[in-house]
Amino acid sequence: MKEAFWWFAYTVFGVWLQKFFPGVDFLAPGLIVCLQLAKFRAALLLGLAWTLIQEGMGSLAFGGSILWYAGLCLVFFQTRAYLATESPFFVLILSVFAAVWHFAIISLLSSLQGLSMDAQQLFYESLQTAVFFPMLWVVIFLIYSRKVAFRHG
Amino acid sequence: MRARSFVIAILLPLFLYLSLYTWNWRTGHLDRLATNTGMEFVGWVLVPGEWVHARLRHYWNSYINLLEVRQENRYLRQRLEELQLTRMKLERQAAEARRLKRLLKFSSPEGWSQFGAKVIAHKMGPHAVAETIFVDKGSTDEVRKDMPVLTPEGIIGRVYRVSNSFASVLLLTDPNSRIPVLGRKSRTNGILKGQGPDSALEVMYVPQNAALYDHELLVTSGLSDIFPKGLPVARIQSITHSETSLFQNVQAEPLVTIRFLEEVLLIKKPRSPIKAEEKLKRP
Repeated sequence: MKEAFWWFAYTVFGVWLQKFFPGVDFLAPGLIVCLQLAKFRAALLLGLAWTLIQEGMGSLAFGGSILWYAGLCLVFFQTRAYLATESPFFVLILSVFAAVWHFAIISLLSSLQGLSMDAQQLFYESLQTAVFFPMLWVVIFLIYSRKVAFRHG
Repeated sequence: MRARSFVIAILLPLFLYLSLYTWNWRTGHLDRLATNTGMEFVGWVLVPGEWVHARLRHYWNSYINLLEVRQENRYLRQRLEELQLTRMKLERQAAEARRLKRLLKFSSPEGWSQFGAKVIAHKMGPHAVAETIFVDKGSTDEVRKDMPVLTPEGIIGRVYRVSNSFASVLLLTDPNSRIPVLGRKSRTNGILKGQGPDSALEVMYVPQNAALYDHELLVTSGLSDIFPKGLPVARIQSITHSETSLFQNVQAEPLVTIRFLEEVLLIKKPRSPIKAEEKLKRP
């Protein structure tokens, strides 16, 4: 119950942050935290819910969020074989990948759907993703692992 | 064995994804699902926050600023607070009344009906490619896709996506927006195209020899089936003639400063009598 409330509050917080920083996904670091703490069921449920939320507020046809979260999960599991998942270096690699992946997905889907987009703005959004991703990860990892998940064992 | 793992790990998910993407592209089922769940959730998350924000701003203006007058005696301070609160409340009400009066003054084109909506957010989310705003009216308020959105000053865009209680509006400044326009004085036709939030609008396909005047008002031409004829959209900013192009290079500026919009009007098309008849005939 406490975990459900925590993730609901985090989702609300993330949506509000996204209002002020368009083009950045503030929910994705939560997914990585779930994977790091081996909460795969929670990751799956949150991934589905966040996919609907991100697609609902976006302007592209459905599909971008699936690629986005699937790519992050794939890189997470691939990099896990070489690095400790809780190391800052691991999160930095994920952040850089998130920025590149965001740029690639939006460019690809925009051209597939015949939508014009501002490449320079997309570049800044990707840069913001790379900057905000590790910052938010640190905050929620510390809060969630120590205050929420820990007490549940 | 390795080829089989490759198929299972990469090709199968890719095939499934592409099938899902294509199926949704043709039917739009997943788009509707995301709009009716995701956009609804986002709307309901933002609306109470906007209310709290307005209240906090009100209290901030009312109380925190008054801390500077701590030196004054108790009676005067209380009196000042009361007057300040009343004045701010009246100012807020007056500003709202002015805005609503302007909205009410707007008379919609013949046969079209209008209703107001509040802006609750601008472009948001990682997949927000288009310049959009979110308004607090949805399909339950009879908002439909492609419905024109405007203010008394002029057109600001059209409805892009609709959920039950909220809708997103594609702004005329977005590079994907195209609005058929004509000069109010010259009657020259063109297509108004957005070029991004901080850039001028471009009027395309204006022939080199066509008349068009500096600072001329551009109104909707009614050629598309979306906007009624004669609504103001933009004002011409500059006209240059290129030696290599068949068309003039025309830049225009929107009549509305979209960044500070709080309320908008949506106008509803009159029902076509043929469609209504068809509907009646249906069993």
